[in-house]
Amino acid sequence: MIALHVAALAAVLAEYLYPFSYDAHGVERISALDFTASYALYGFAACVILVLLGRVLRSVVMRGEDYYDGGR
Amino acid sequence: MRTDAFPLLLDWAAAVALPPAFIFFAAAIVTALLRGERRRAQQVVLLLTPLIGLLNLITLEAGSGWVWKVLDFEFVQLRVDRLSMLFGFLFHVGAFIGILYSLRVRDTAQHAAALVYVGSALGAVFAGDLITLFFYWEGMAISSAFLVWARRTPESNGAGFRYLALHLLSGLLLLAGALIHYQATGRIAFEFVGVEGIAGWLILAAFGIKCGFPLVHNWITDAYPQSTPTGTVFLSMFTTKVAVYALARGFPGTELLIVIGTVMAVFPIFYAVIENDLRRVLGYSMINQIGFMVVGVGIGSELALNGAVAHAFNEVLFKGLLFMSMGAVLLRVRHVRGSDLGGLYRSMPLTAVFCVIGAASISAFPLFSGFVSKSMIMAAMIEEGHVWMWLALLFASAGVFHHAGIKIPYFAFFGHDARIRATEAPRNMLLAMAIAAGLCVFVGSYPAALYHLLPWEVDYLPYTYPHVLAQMQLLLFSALAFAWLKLTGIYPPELRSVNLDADWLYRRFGMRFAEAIEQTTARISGAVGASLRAALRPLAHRLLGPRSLLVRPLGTGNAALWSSVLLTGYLLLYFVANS
Repeated sequence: MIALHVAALAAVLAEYLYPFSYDAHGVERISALDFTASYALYGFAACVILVLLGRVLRSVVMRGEDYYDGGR
Repeated sequence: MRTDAFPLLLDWAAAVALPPAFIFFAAAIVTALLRGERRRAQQVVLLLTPLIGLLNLITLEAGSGWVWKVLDFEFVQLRVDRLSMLFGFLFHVGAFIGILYSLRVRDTAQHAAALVYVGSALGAVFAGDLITLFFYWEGMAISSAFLVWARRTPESNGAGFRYLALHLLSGLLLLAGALIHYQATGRIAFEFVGVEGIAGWLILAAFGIKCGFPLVHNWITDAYPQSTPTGTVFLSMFTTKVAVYALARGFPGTELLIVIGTVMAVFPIFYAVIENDLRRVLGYSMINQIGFMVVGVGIGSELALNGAVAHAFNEVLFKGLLFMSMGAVLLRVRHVRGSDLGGLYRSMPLTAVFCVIGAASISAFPLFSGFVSKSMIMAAMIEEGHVWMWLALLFASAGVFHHAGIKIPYFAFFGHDARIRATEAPRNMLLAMAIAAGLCVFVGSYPAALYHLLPWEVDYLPYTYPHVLAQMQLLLFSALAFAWLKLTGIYPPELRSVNLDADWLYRRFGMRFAEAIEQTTARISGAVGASLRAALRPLAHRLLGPRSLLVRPLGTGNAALWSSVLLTGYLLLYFVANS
């Protein structure tokens, strides 16, 4: 857990010290993501949204294990 | 692909070069004959088959071979170009890994089905015309259904039939499309098809079913978790990759595919988060990965198509590896329910390591294979200006790490200790996983090896500072989100359950609908039948009763008369038909 936090911090710090801009090979500073640590924020937000929506989805689609064998 | 290491041998071999499918079909027959006592010999044949196949493969020369002319048709068994060769090579490597993994299985039917299945996949990839493609398409459907049924449980039985029904439908659509295409163009060659006419749409629908397009994707998440530990490894390697190959050949640059692919990449990750069966999680993750490839085909630029097929290549290895690690757990623990697993790294440490390598590869960590192929598709999207779709795929990339990269290894091997005492996977399985894991790391660290095989020239550098750093930020903060959500209890716990998906339409709604129709028609036909019977009884009595016309004996003269009437009628018909 500590290592994960350190590595995550290091990845942001690296960008702060050595910023990058345009790169034709897979990374684009599109206007929506043109700020420091944008990818970090996007990754974090994406996973939180994913899990929260996943919980909503579960409340809609979850059924008992025997649903297709006549269960409810 | 030709080397000059053994020029004489190669020249001799080139003269007898076979369509790769034939070698696997022959091996399936030999394997079936070597049952029972001759198991050692059977294992030797199994292991040698992909190696002999590979030797045959490197002697193939670009162009068309084994052309059979029937009437106006030209059936091409062997169309060799860089695209078909890439998949041919990939399928031989995949077959070797799968065969090694399943070497100890004492089930000849399963081995033979797997060989026919691999052979059909190779046949489809090298087929030069739509009709030959159709035959191998059906061969794949039927042989792979046997791999689902091989589990021999009521669940696998049902899933196998649902699987086969969808795949036969795909075959019918392909055949219909091919015939209409022939009527319209006078050609059956399998080249660019496009969605200009009805034929194009039918063929696209056929490929779409095999690819797992949304709403027809459930055969993957339905059948793959029900097959045997080893059968699923084969299944995961071939069917969908043949579909991606067919799309890349027939529909490059079809804009609709960008939208379909993006939907495929995004929606399954939500299901993967709440799914309990870890092999089904991998099924959803597979749809997500194919989504990236479909997007690549839809963009259609050289970079995008290279990315799509490169990602297909890598997925065979890392998804195969993940299915192998879960197969080993299924073999040793008898189930792969996330809710009842955990802490297995103590008893299965090597399997755990291989699983983590597969997870890192699918998550596209730098130095692992996904990193060097998925980003080609992403870069091509930006080049062509699809910014919103690109953001959606970036979301999907973070999600992949979340459900496949972390969830699979965490719930199986780490997390809370479920106190399961299991033994490590058998040696042949470990070796198969080691080879796949080694290839994942090799391709990830030395991408030039893969780029060299791609159909178009590659002008792409995966390892740039911005790419590595941006990807590390994305992944590390996804991991951070997982850790925090787990600690705070917001992360949905693994629960034994069924999650409704599009298959509800035919498994529940369709079933109830059919039952209702059956009951109604039975009631109607019962009522109609009763009144009809009452009305027809006097007539039937006259015709079939003891003194009726049909029962009374007739003389030979009468019989001769009726025979000549029939013959004359037949002759008349013949003349009318031929005039």
